Amino acid sequence: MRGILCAGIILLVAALLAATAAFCADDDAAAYNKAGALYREGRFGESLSIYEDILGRGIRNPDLLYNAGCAAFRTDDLGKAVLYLERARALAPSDEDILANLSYLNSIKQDQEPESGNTLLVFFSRQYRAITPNGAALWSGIAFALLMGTLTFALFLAGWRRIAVLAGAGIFGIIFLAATITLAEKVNHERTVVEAVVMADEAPAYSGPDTDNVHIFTLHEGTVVIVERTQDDWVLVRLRSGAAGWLRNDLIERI
Amino acid sequence: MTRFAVWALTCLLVTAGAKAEAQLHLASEVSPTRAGLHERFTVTITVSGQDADGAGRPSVVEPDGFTVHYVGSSTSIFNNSVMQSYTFLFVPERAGRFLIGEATLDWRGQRISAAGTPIEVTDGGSPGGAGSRSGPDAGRSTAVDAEGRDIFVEAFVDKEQPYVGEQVTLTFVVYNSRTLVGDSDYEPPSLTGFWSVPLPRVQGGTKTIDGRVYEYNAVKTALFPTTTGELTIGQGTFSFNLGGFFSRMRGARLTTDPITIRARSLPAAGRPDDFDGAVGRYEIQATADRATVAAGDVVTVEVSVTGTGNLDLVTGVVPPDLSNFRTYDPRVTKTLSNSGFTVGGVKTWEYVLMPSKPGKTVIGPFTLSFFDSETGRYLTVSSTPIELTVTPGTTSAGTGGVGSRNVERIAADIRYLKSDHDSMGSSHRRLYGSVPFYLFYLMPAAAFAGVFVFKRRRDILERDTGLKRRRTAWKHLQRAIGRAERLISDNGSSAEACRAIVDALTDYIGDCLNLAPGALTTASIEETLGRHGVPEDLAGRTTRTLAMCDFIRFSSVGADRSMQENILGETRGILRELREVL
Repeated sequence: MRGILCAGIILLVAALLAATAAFCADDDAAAYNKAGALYREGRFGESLSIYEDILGRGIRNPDLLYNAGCAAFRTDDLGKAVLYLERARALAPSDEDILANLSYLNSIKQDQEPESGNTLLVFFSRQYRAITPNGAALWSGIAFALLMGTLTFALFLAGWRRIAVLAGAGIFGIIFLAATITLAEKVNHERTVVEAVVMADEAPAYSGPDTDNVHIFTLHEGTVVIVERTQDDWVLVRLRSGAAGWLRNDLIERI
Repeated sequence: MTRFAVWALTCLLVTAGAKAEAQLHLASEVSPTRAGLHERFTVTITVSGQDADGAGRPSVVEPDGFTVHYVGSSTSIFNNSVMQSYTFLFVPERAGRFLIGEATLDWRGQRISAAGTPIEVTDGGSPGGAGSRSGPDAGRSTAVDAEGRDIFVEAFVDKEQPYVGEQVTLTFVVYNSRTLVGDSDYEPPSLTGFWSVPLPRVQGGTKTIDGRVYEYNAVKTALFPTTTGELTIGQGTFSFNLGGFFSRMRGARLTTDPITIRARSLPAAGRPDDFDGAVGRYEIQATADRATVAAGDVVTVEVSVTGTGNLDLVTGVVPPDLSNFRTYDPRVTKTLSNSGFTVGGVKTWEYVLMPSKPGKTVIGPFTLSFFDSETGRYLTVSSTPIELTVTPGTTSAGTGGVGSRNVERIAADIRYLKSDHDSMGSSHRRLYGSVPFYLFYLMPAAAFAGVFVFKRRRDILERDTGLKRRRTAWKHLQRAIGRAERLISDNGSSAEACRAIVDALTDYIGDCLNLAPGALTTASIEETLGRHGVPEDLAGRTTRTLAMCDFIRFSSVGADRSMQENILGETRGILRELREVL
């Protein structure tokens, strides 16, 4: 009797939590749609404020981040626009709209991202960037399952049939290896590489973590940098071009 | 009854005749309505109706300051109606406004009247007539025939110092007080430095000059100076024939002297940046052929410039910002009109625009800057903006629409918002590192390993018959023992039950030792078991059990159920021990 009572209470609590979660999700969707309506009316500032409220509740949705990026751009906040769109790209790296807007922002911001002149290299680079860790994991898992399946099937075959099936298994094995290596690289990148966006109009970079050092270059709003390490209120950042310098931590926002 | 009908018809005809009498009309017409002092007004009084020809000459009212001459009458018949016209000449003796042409007619006791027409008599010549001049300095050239002033020609312009592009009207007038015979011809002057437009024919008339009444005819030409400085209008020539019924006909010609004018350049002060040489006075308006258009479809915007001046010089219509549209070169048409001897008309630009983005947009205003020669100032006129609603199109601007040119990107912007959501959740869940992710690898691997082991074992068994018999011996034994149990429990034949026990024992031993069926007999089994290391006691018990079973099978007494169960129990014990040994 006591056990039944406990199970009932647990079930009730679980149902309440599920209902609350569903209600909050609907609430967020309503706010998201309202922000979209404000944007369409040209009230970009109010729209951005609502998007940021939803983001503040811990929602990480690529569409939400994309729309927030658009609203930030319309309010002339280039840094925020790049930040939100980069965060959106991290979640949906193959989304055409996100990539198009980032490309557009790159064309208008003061510090433009260097891009290889080799078309083939650019193509493969973009394709590689479009792969998410989840995508790589899925490919790896499916290729492994198919590899095991074809090997199992080959156990019951002989002669040329076995050879053919084993060749198929070899292809699945190669895909599995490639996907697994990609997954490992992506996971490693996620864990070790921290990117950030310059939020200030101008961010002077020094040769050391102090203004007494040599001012080596100046970054501008919207520039994406790689955070190498932090020391007190300073961060050592590296540009994709390879140049590195120390910036004040409050001038950047991590993606 | 017949008499009544005749009487009624007669009354009807009489009444109709009376009505016809009542329809006699009197009308007055005056030409021209404006003339100079001593110039003539022609007043025509027309009597119309069935008896007009017998109604007599109407009386015209003679206002003070006019000398009235009766000229004559004429009769015409039209649609069985008679029209009798009487012509009078009114020569004014003083200037002012008057009412002339009032007339009355007394006929059969009735007084029929016609209203007069207001006219104006000016001190000089008539302003719109052939002899008018707009300025005191207007160039004038006169040629007189050799026989005095019976015939003379005159050429003059209305402006001697026009601006470049401003209209100058050249008038060539022939005055004559004699009858001309045969054809006459006008040879226009050379007009180097002018752009010329022929003007409509001037209605001729009469004019009194120095006490003589002349018939006159005039030709007008609009001239637009194309360059600044002194420009010369060449000689105009009028060729004609003189003579009469009783005299010899002879040809003659009268030529005017050249006229020089000075064309002024347009002032630099106040000249708009977009001024492109238009001189005159214009208005501009723009209209679209639709208020709603789909993106990728076309809308035609017609921009019309209307006014007076040389429309060929109107080229500087400035379109508004049309960056939201794909545009094509406009089609330009021109319609000239020169009423009132002033050149003008309408020039139209048809713009074909293709909107690229849906939404509300505004076209315009189109603007035109011109020089107003009357005020001497530059003016800029604008059309009213056009509101246009662009709906989403079904075809992209790049693949459909007008022409087959590639789409040219005319602007760049960020892409639009993502659409609304029914629910909003995080998509930040990592697949790798989760339990399902590892299961995704483990399950196929485990399945493969299991199948591999199974297949390997099966292959070994297939190759080794003895091993296969030994592996399956216990399973077969269980089935055989089960059969013996059923026979016993069913109280079946004890011989059958004992045979089943014997088969179970011998088959099991044969399977374990891989011996051929039938190779084991009760007599040889003890020796065989001994050879394979079975203890003598167990081999002896086995032999005895088999012998007991054979005895029961082949004896006529058989065995009861308890005895059979004892034998089965003993057999199970033997088999358990044999399983450990073999």
